[in-house]
Amino acid sequence: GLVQSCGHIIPESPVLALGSNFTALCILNESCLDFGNIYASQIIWKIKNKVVPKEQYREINRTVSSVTFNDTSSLATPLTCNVLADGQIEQNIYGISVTVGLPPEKPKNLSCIVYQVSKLTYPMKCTWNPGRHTFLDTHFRLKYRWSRESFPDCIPKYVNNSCTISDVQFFVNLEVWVEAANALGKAESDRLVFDPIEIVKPLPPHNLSVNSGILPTVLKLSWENRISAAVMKLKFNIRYRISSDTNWMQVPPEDIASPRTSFSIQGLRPYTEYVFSIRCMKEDGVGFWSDWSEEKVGVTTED
Amino acid sequence: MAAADTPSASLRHHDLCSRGIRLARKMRSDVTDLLDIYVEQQGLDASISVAAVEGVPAAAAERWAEQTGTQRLLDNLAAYRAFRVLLAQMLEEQREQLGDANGELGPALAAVLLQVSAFAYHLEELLELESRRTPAEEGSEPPAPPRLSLFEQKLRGLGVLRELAQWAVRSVRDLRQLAKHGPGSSAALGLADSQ
Amino acid sequence: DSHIQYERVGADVTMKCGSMDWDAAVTWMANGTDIDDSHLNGSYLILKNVDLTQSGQYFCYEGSSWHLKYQTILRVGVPPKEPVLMCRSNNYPKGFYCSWHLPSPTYIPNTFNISVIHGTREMVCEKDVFPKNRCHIRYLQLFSTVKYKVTLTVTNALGKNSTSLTFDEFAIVKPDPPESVVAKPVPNNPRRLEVSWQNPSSWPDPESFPLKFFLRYRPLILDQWQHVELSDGTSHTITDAYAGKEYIIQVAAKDNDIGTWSDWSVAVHATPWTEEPKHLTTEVQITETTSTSTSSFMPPPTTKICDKGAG
Repeated sequence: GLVQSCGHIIPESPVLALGSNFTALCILNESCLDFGNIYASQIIWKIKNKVVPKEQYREINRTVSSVTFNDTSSLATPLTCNVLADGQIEQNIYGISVTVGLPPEKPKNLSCIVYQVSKLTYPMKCTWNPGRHTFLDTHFRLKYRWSRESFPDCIPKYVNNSCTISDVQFFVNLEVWVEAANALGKAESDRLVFDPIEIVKPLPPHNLSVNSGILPTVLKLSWENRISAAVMKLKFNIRYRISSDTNWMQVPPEDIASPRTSFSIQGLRPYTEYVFSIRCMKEDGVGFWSDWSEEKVGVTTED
Repeated sequence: MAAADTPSASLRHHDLCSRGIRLARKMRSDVTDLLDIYVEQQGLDASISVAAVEGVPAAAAERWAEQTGTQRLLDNLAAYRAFRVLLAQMLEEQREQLGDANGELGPALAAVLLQVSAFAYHLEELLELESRRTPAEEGSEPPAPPRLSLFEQKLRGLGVLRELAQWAVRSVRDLRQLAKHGPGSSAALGLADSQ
Repeated sequence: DSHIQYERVGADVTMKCGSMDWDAAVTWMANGTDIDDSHLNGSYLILKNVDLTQSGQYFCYEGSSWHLKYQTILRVGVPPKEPVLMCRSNNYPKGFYCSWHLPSPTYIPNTFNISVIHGTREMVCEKDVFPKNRCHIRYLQLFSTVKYKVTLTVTNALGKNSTSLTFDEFAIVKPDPPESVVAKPVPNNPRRLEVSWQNPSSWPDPESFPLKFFLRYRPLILDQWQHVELSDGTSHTITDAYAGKEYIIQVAAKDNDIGTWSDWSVAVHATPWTEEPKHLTTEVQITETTSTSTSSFMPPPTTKICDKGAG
């Protein structure tokens, strides 16, 4: 058989857009012509061992044959260039892998939340809609910068629709966008510009305690806030229910709309066990409510 | 009307000032925490006195009340550009001394360095709002740190952080003075005889 | 004119009768009364283990002629202990004052000398006319990391002592308490009290150097305070006051960025609004007024929400 390679196909391992047209060339080596007595006219194109209809061939010259596909969706790997050597023996000249896919769509619905995880650490998680499946190896990068300083991209791990920046700085406008790229192209999301202080989801207050006072209809709830005043001032929601009941009641939000660490809940039933829970958010309402805190039980005194 | 006086410029000026104040206040809070970490990790005595450190812009100001808005911005900008270099030098020294074992100190230093950079950008934008050219940065950096012993290096770092903490307080005051007056009013923002 | 002689409590004092010989006949008087001979050694007056009560004017007369030969004012006292010195800025950024006192009296005149050093610079401490033990220093520099060192030396005829303070400019900033604290009920709101106050008048420029406030309140029936920290404005509405209970309220102030909290303000009292008790009326009147009466009683403003899971 032919040990020496008698030709090659260009382009080599192309990545093609779904639905586009594609032409490949099989170029025979001059040396093989004389020795093997083979010509471009003898070339047979195959997709996965299935012969490509001859109408799609064209003999460019003695050594070059082309094949054209009007719609790449019929293409598959391998695409091979073969020749009938010595009359009847079909011999493979060369083969290429063909990848068909789509360029990335513009990532949409980019949104970010700063999740407080400790008193001093504020990672920001951004999520987006990556768009249609591209059938190709598509890389997403979350890019972010200040007006005068860029930062290393955030590269998602194991997913293609979110990335978490380990710690953000407040009080500086941050420009954030997503870039998607694959062999067929690149796309960028719309750019968001915001101050991360406006998208914080704080940790809920903790170390709750409930004290019954002298009055049988009052319980005082105390707690510790976990976000520094240098970062933001808080407002609160407090909900409570009788232990045996499932309906929550809520303290009017306007009553707890400023920074504090305790509140006396009144109008309760004497000698009754209540469950309390509290959550917080930025005082001006910009941002997200924290989760509800751990629940705390308290009992009013007898009448 | 000078570009600086347009309504949008005033809005932008107010936004930059108010967020700058909050950034300076957060920076001060973080520098104070950083000082505690630094003193502990470097094995220093918190009450130790540190002489003025060469190349570190002193926050102390005489006749502070009589400064104009532009003077305030220029002084602040020069200081925070210097601190950006000084903190980067400290971060480098930490990495050399302790490698990855610099525990909390490295990340805390890096976070403050980032805030110093951010604050410098705020100041640059404010200066531009004042229709003033931001002074070129080249040539304004503090000199390369002298060859110091390890202990002297630690003291120098302490001096840098203490001065930065004071600058953060001063910056809050400066920006509040600026916030009282719109952009483009570089008239002396003197206080009633309060000094 | 007689000179003053200072002696320590517990000392032994010997007074000579001027130029009179030891064996001369003399008479000693203290504060107008004769001193008996047991205190005399010849013409010398011997006072053992003197105490404060022996302070006074002492005269020595020649025996026969009653010529006054010697007089002195004896002041018995003690050397000064280490003085207590306090420096504070209640009018930042104008300056700060230092005030001092002695932990215990010396019973004799003392002189105080204060020196204020900032880095290498000596600063003037302008003494107040009243109170005497206080002086003021103007800040020549702000935002300095160089510490201030204040040294107070107290001297009297029996000794000398001193103390010194070293501090940062911002560490001694402590405003005076807020003034004009007023608390009022809020009509138709049985659980609210409106509290307002003013910046301490000693604080020179609240606009450039804003204060934040700490408000504490409790019903008289309870010992435990509730606190709210407020970083802007000089008023607050308490929203969880016990209906009908008298409250005591106080406010403290602190510079927004540096220093320590002031003392608590003067306490004010207030009781939340309560609905006027209805007059006992006869049956007839009830039927007439039912259509016009308006019940202003409001059920506790608690919004009932079913358990719809997280908000």
